[in-house]
Amino acid sequence: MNVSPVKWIKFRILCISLGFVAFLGLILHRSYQLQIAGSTRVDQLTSRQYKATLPISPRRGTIYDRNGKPLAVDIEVSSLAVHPRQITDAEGVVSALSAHLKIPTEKIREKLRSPKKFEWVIRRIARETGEAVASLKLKGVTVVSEYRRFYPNKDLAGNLLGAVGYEAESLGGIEMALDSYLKSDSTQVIAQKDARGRLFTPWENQVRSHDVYLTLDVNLQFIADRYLREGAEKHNAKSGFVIVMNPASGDILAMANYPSLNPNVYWKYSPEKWSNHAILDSYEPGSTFKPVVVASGLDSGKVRPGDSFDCEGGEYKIGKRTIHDHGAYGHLSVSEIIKVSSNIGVTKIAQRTGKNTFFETIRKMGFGTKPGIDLPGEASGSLRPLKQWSDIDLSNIAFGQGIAVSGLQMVQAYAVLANNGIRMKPQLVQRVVGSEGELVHEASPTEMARVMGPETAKRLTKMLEQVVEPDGTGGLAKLDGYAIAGKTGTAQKVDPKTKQYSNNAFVSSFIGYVPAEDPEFVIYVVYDTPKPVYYGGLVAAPVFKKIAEESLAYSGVAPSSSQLAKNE
Amino acid sequence: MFDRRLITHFNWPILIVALVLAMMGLANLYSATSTFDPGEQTSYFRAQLVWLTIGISSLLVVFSIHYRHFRALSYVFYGITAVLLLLVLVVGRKVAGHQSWLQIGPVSLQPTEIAKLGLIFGLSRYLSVFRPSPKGATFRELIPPFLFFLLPTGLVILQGDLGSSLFFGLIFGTLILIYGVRWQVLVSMLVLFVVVATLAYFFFLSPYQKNRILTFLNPEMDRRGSGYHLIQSKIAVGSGGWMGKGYLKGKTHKLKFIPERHTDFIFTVLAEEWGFLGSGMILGLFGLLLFLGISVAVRANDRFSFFLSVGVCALFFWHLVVNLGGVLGLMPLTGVPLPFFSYGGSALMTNWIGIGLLLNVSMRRFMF
Repeated sequence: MNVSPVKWIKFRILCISLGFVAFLGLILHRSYQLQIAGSTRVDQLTSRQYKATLPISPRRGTIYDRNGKPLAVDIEVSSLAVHPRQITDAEGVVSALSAHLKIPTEKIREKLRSPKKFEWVIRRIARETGEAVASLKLKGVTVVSEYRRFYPNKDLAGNLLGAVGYEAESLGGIEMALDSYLKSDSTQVIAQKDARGRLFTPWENQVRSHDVYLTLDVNLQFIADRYLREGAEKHNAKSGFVIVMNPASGDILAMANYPSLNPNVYWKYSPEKWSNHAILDSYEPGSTFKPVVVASGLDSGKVRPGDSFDCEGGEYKIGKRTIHDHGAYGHLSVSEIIKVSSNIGVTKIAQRTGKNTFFETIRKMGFGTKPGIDLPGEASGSLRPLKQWSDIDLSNIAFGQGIAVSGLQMVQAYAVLANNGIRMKPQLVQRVVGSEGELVHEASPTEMARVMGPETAKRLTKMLEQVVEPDGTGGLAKLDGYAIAGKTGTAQKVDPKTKQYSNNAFVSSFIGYVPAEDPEFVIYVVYDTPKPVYYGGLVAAPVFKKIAEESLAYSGVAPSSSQLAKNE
Repeated sequence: MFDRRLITHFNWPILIVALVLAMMGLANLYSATSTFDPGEQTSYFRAQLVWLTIGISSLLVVFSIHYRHFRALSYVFYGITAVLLLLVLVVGRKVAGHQSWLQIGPVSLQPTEIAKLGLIFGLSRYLSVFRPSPKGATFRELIPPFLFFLLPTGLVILQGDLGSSLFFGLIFGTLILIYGVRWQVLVSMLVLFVVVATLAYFFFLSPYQKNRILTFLNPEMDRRGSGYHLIQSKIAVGSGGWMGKGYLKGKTHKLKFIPERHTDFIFTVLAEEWGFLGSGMILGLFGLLLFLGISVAVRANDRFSFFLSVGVCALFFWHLVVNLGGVLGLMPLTGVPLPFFSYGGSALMTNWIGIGLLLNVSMRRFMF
């Protein structure tokens, strides 16, 4: 090569290289134009193209117990739809679907004749069946993933949890109370649509809702549920409930109902069987209310622990009304009045305490207002305004008549005695966790009021321990190795027809806390209309004992040495 | 026979850049073929893996034999590829309207891809032997190389693959420019091209080919029909943004909106998932590869290896430009693979042979 051509070649190479650079630059510029400068317009195009909304509900949050055991979960199921206009091989589709789904061919043909663009064939079938149909890749047939609410423990705490309907709407209980957390933010599922119009609903793309952790403990719930049912069946009760609460934190550990609801098949239950009696019912508590007036008298100093009251031989006239006791008692100490559950005794205590002080104590203990656990239909009971109280009202209320309470209020009140005089807010929801695992809400123990001094609470506890002694009304609740403070209740029900107290319909109950010196649980057992035996001490106290015994064992609470020593 | 300089002068950068591109291409193909339908993915991916192995093996063969042996065999190569092109017309298989596949046992071959290399060999040999007149080649001097170009082009047009036939012209044009032509010749060739193109448009192009050109000019004209490809690819590329949606997260291809997403439109997958930065980086790597290739050509020892290297660079460059230009809506769509990225064995093998030739020339520039 001579010099000149080499130069020329170098020049031409340079030209070609510049050409290369120019072209690459142009392409890079074009990429920029499309990807960065024009991306908003593209976003609109894409969402229209890839997305299809489906009239199904996205995944609902899970309800757990305090230890993370699932109480209500959404399980994946398949639903099948057809796009009638896209179907070319109608008979092929009909026979394939009919064979897989075991639906008569005529029913499927009917769906295919629909003028609509989208028609459900069957919903919420097992996922395997759905996948089997999907694998056939039938043109115009879409298999959509959906959810169905499932309660793994069946009717355990069913009345409390409530249920979820066909369109994922909440039908009561916790499901309804916490619906705003549990349901997904959107009411539709955004599916992805491919170029042939087939729909895909990948799980990870669905907007998820919050998970809820309740204060319940599945094991304690199971214990409560089992013995509640056993007692109800034994004594032919119409209904009944048990509440177990931790008095120091206010955490509700169990809330069992009889009859119970299995939310998996909620449609099989009549409305009254859905009731969560523990919070919905208002009723006259009877003798279990007596400690309230005693606490009021002692804490105000108007009654001293050593005082004794004349129980008038079992009959005491107030105005035109006569009050009766079960026995013809003479002079009884405050402690004895509680132990034998003397109506005349507590009437005398109430008279000495005075309505103002008594009313104040009742209010402070939380009666007459909703405990505020935010369940739908929560009862507030009924407490007559002080101005309307007559002398006989003061007496009646002292032994639990003429006042209506809810189960939760009673538990709340006894927790005051168990918690050194401080009322804690009852809690049912421990925490709410968002879809990214973030803590949305967390309940912490909340003090509502100091109702009485700690020494008053201690004194009452001592008195209530007497109740479960062999000669007390609640002797059947006695438990080896643990001191129990409790009280029986046998309240006449008001006959709705005659508006008079019935002689054969009673609310039988036992409420107490254990171990008495350092209470772990407040347990309330209530039966509505047990027959023929109706005394709280006979019907409810033994159930209390069994629940207390197993709950203590499950929680690993050691028996107290003083109690064991007593038995030796 | 063995010389230490083979190792010391081995052009590592070219091999590394090519390997990086090939690995990225493989990963991208995996994503492109992962739709919601299982099964599809693995078959494409495995086949490409096999072809990659074949490609790299042919690279090893190509660069270990001194290129002067190739020079001697240049016309033979050219001849063989021409025969293959002819064979395809007789016993070839038709895919997507083109009769361009040759079935040899289990292997499907696209002789068009290999014929591009054949043309480079033939032209390099001819142009290195016959030098142009001092002021550049005259018409008469260009007649033989023109015939070299005309033969494969004609055969490919007969297959119905107009897009690929264009490539022979582009390679020919690039090499002729480097060879040196008089400006009168250059101008008249451009005029000739315009005239032939215009005539072809009106008399030879099939309606669908005309449509491609029309939709390039206005893709919105027929959104669901002929404009569909282009709009979908713009959507895919456009939804990438700066950083992209992330590997395996692209929707356009996953939901099968992009036809030919694993072959001609493979870049849309890359752009959607890796964004402007990712696609810019790939362009950068291709640019680097071209730069390294041109450096090899500039330092080449003799005219044959010089033309050969320029030819290989032109091959990569024009594939890049025609593929990306088409996908990004800069020019009408032609079914052309993107080097190292598109699914397809023949093209991948051709790419690796090209890299092998560059390495070969680069390594032996000090040896005689």
